[in-house]
Amino acid sequence: MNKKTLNTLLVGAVAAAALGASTAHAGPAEGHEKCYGVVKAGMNGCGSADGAHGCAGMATEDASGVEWVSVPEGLCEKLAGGSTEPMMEEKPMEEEH
Amino acid sequence: MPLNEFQKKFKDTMFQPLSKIEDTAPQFNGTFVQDHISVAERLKIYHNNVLGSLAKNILATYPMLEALVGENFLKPLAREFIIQNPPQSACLHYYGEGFDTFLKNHKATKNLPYLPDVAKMEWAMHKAYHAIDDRPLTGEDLSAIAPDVLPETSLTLRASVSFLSSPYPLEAIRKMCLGQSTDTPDMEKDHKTKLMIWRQDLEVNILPLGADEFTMLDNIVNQKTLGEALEKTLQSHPDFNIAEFLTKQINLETFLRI
Amino acid sequence: MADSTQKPNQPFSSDPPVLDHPVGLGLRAPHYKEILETKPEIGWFEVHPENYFGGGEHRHYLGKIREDYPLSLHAVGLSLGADQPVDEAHLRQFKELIDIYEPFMVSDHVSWSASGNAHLNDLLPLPYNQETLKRLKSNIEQTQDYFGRQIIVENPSTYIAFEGNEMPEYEFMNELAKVTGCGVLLDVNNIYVQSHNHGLDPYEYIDGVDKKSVFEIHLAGHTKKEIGDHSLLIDTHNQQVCDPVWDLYAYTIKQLDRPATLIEWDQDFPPFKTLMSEARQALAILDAHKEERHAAE
Repeated sequence: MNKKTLNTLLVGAVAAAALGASTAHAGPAEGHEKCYGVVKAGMNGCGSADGAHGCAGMATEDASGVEWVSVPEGLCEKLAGGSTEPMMEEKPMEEEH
Repeated sequence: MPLNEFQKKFKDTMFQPLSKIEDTAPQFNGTFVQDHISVAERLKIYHNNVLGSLAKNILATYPMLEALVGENFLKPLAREFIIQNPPQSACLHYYGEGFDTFLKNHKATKNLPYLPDVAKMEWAMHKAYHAIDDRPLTGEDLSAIAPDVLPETSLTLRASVSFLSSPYPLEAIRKMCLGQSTDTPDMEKDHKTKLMIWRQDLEVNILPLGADEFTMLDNIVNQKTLGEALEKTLQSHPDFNIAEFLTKQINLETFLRI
Repeated sequence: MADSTQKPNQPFSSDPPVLDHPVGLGLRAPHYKEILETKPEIGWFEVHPENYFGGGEHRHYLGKIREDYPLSLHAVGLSLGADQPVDEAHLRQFKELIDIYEPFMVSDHVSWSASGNAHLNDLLPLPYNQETLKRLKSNIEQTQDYFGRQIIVENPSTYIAFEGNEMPEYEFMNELAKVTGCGVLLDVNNIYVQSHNHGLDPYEYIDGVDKKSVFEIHLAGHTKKEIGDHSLLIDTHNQQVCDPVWDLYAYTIKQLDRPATLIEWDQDFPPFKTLMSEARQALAILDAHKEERHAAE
């Protein structure tokens, strides 16, 4: 397609879009979905985020910690076809909470 | 110890695993008061506050990842990410970018190859939620551009807009995570998923895109002008309908007002 | 603001002082809708400005709530005690919020949270000496100059003490207010926490504070953490204000004129009515003191 045809196409498209957009009710297209249904908490807090005052964990902190669970536990089991093959052999870091 | 040196050492002490605290505490001998509670114990309080609060932030940003692999699996990964990538801003809304790449390179997720793409989708949603309230380009704005300069015009996406492609069924996974579906998607085939995620007014939305729309958006971001973007899109998608595309995107308010 | 001899003693720049109802609540996302629907009888709200950088729902709700209530912006990210200047980008975004929402009070903490480009998202401790004083002075002045108004700074909760302290914390706060013209946000719970953690007398602390610099009081709940035979109090903001802190508050306000008082709750959010009952308790203490004073006159 040569430049001139391309430009004509573009100019026509813009005219159509300006018309279509101004007459159509502006709003999400068919097939869209909302991602969030509730107000998400703010991330910044007094030394913490939505609570992320990590110190909440302090009261229940256990120095021995929860060990890294080598098998992920959640919906991924369904996606992995129920496979519970270990993901890790060693603990990379101890847990604090 | 001078203030600057103290703060740097303290910062380095925080961004390391808990097991290192006992070893690094002696560098603060003479700086902190030694009493019935050891300096190491007191440093651990701060360590837990810093890493704990940031890990909580990462998990709050990636709730689908948590639904997929569980808190006990995700939290240690979050801590490792934080130690490698401390926040670069005091505003934490934008902390956690790049977690997808981190997961991709981590051996723990080698049997969960779709996890980085789910992270990418969640980041796009989070980014859209907190994006600035910039002004959309309207049909009127567009028609005000003189026809002869139109091909040389560049369009910019608004701050909230992301689009991503993935071989994994991200929408089905999202529905599973939200508890909206119990269907198990087929993970073997290439789903050629193409999504746009953006915010319109207060709502963060997700919308599947056609391959041609996706290509055009990608070209708008990467090419210098609208004319070039269109030309390149038509090369791979000869049936691409530019009028339909522009009408739709103007209605979705995805372009930034010039 | 550069000339600190012209000390502004009145920080209320946009709204009249909210002294008819001096008690406010920390405004958090889970309560936005209930507040708009029920318009609770509360004097004012306080938010962390950092949660309103960007746009979308947070700014939307803040704007709506601001139509009905005075607002205070209580920052957590200026890192005033860091040995580096305050980040200009942070100041710029903060100033934008000040211009839009016209808060009656602007505050941050006597602490640091950034070193170089790394941000730790915590209010970290400082040695109370001349070097720190100089650094804070410079950063508070930079902030006040940028905003064109006075800010107030809050005494922190800390879990570790410095060998190099040259003065008690209250004296350090007094000195800061004197040299910068800033005000003091007295967190009574933090004073209680500090006193437990470092073996101090909280009443001596209150007595030592220069009352004419104090423009706001914070109250919150904390958590006790046992360490061997000892314990530390952690400033968790996740529960009700405890009785000894209410007592300390009652003692503090006798030396002040109905100060703006805030109830903070940052995690494990209770129903909104629990916050309201905490606020009513603070108001009851302020009212009791007012009556006591009238009776004495």
